Amino acid sequence: MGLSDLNFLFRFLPAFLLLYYLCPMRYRNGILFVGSIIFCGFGSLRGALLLLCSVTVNYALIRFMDCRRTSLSWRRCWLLTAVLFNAGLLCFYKYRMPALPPGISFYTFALLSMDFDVYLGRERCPGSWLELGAYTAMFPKLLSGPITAYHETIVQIRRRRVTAKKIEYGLSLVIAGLAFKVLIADTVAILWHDIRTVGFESISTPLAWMGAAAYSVQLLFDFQGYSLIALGLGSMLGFDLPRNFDHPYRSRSVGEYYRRWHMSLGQWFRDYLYIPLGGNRKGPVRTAFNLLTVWIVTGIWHGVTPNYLLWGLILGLLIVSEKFWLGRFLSRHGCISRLYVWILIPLTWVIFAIPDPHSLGVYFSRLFPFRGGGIAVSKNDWLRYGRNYLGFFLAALVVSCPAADYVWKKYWNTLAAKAMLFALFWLCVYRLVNGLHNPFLYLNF
Amino acid sequence: MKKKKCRMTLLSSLTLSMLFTNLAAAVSANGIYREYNVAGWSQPAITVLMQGLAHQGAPRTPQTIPAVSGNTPSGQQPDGTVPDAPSGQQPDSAAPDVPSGGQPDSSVPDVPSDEQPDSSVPDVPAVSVPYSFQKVTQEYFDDALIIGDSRATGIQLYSGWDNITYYAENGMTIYSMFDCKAAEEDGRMLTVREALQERSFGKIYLEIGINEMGTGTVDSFMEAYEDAVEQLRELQPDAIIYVCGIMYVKQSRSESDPIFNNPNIQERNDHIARLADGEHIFYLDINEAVADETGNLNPDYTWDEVHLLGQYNILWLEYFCSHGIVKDG
Repeated sequence: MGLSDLNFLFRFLPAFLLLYYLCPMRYRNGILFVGSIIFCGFGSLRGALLLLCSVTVNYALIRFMDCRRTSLSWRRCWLLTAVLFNAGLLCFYKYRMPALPPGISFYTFALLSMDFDVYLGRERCPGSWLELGAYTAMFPKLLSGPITAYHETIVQIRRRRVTAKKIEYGLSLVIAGLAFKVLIADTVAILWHDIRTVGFESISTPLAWMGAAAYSVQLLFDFQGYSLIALGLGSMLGFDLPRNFDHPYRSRSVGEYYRRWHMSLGQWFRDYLYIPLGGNRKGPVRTAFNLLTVWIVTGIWHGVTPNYLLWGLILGLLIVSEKFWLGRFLSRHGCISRLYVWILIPLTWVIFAIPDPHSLGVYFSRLFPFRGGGIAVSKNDWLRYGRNYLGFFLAALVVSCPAADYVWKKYWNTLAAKAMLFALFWLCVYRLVNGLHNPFLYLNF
Repeated sequence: MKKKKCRMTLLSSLTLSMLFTNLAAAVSANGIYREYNVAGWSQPAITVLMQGLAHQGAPRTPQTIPAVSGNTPSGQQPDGTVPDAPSGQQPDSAAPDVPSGGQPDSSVPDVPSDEQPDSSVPDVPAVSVPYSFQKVTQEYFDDALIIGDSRATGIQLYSGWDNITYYAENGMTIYSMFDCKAAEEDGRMLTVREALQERSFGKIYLEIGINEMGTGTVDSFMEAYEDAVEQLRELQPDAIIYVCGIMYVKQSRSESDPIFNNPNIQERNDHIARLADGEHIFYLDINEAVADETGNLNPDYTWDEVHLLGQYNILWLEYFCSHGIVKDG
């Protein structure tokens, strides 16, 4: 069960919210934890048990660490144990098992964040098993993040306020996210599916570029939509979860792009890997090494197939080159820097999308047909597909432009906006019932 | 003060509308839209209402009996009735082999239907065999029309032959075929019916049927199919009509999908094959060209398990080329 499933929207969520709002504040963490385990159990019973085990083991380890908080060597010892346990569990399921338990990539990072924060003394350890359970398993962010830092979130677990405005704003975000996911991402996804159906050998070069754009738009709106739903649900429960996206395609460098894309993952790697490695404080060579390490780990986090490693490596190299020489050029040339991002990023997403090296090679030979190639290519296929999807690309562009932000901030609480959101909700439900609904892309990572 | 009043508008209106629609859905799931109530408790009642509204007025039969594996290996219907089997078999032994009903497994030898008619279908009188299939060249298709669904658009886009006319559209079904605006003539988009009234063809290939698998029964599908062929005969009395068997799906899809599987496809193909009269209407089974030794769509030919990869769409035309009917004069 995902956040955009009908069973979630029409059964789980109303029942959960009713119970949550009717109960006094002191019971709400318990309801949130139990509700989240049930939510996880609908997807996989084994996944729910694993989540319970993970929370329990981490609670025991963090209590041990807390008991020995005056001894640095003991703290280190318990931190190492916790890191080995969490990383080992994640690697085992990610790289050895055929199916990934729901949310394991995200809640493992949340638990590691707790281990590091308590070790560094940024925040005291959770007061109870229930408190840790609510922080780790919280269903709005369980499957897709945002990956919240422990020291920022645990204070909200301990004390938060549910207000009418937060509920209403949260609901607006949920509907906006649902529309991003169902109306834009799921529709544009059909183009990428069609291209795979035709076979990379037979697509024309314009269609190959359209495919790269379609996959990029699909990934953005799928993940951004899902993150908005998570933020909205968080707001309805009284939380202020951090933003995960900040208009990445407005960036003027790849580095900036990844400060705006999946921000919570980027911040996690910055705080718990890049800075502990020395960040940019130990000279240019070490900085380059640290950046490359972060990006290779980011690639491996997404999967073990060579394309993820290649994707991470290329991004790392681009970011290193921007840091030392390309960045200055890009900052002086506004148009070129935007084109650079708009062309390079979709190409890197193509690498991300195609695990098979041969198919990846074929796709790039269609993107850059310098040596001819292609089998049974239909040179006008892009016109046919372009007609069908142009409207959705334009819609994606419109809602991504700065004016859309302004309009949202200014008018979201007006009656007209709410009437539109109401209509959008039912349109999404109609599409979910009668259209093709794709599961969330990032469930695989 | 005014702002405060507005604050919970969205939550309250959504709550009320969800209550109302759920109530309406629960009533309609046991009433006017009970045909769509196939998911039971696994989906919220709202799905029944939404599906019912989506298909309101559409010229299609709601799914009354979900197509499931283990279907009856004959044309016999669950209520025991036997559909009217139109007369006509393949003209001669050179005609494509039509496997007996409901047996897509290649372990069952392909038997021409005139040699082993389905026992559940009344015997049909033998038809005179004036024409037999022969090899033809690309020019044969200068006056040919292919009507069909997404599989036909694949042929149109990726076969590389531009002398054939196509009235094809993704999602086209036999129920909506004539009203589908899929015909481009002189820059105008016409419905298939309008286009067929304006222009004459020598050969018409009807490649349709996969989209209808989840809708209606074999009986309702064949009723619409026979009606469509009859209308084609009326609109194009001089054309040779080729009715194409539905192409199989890949084994993994066939074994996991209760509807879009090869036993169900074969059952429909057996009925389509019986429309052939050996004089005006001929049956072509593309599965001879695209199925592997297991009797399923060759896995090398497809990515999505249903459609051919672009480069293999030429197999359709190669197959048509080896199965042409040439009438003297």
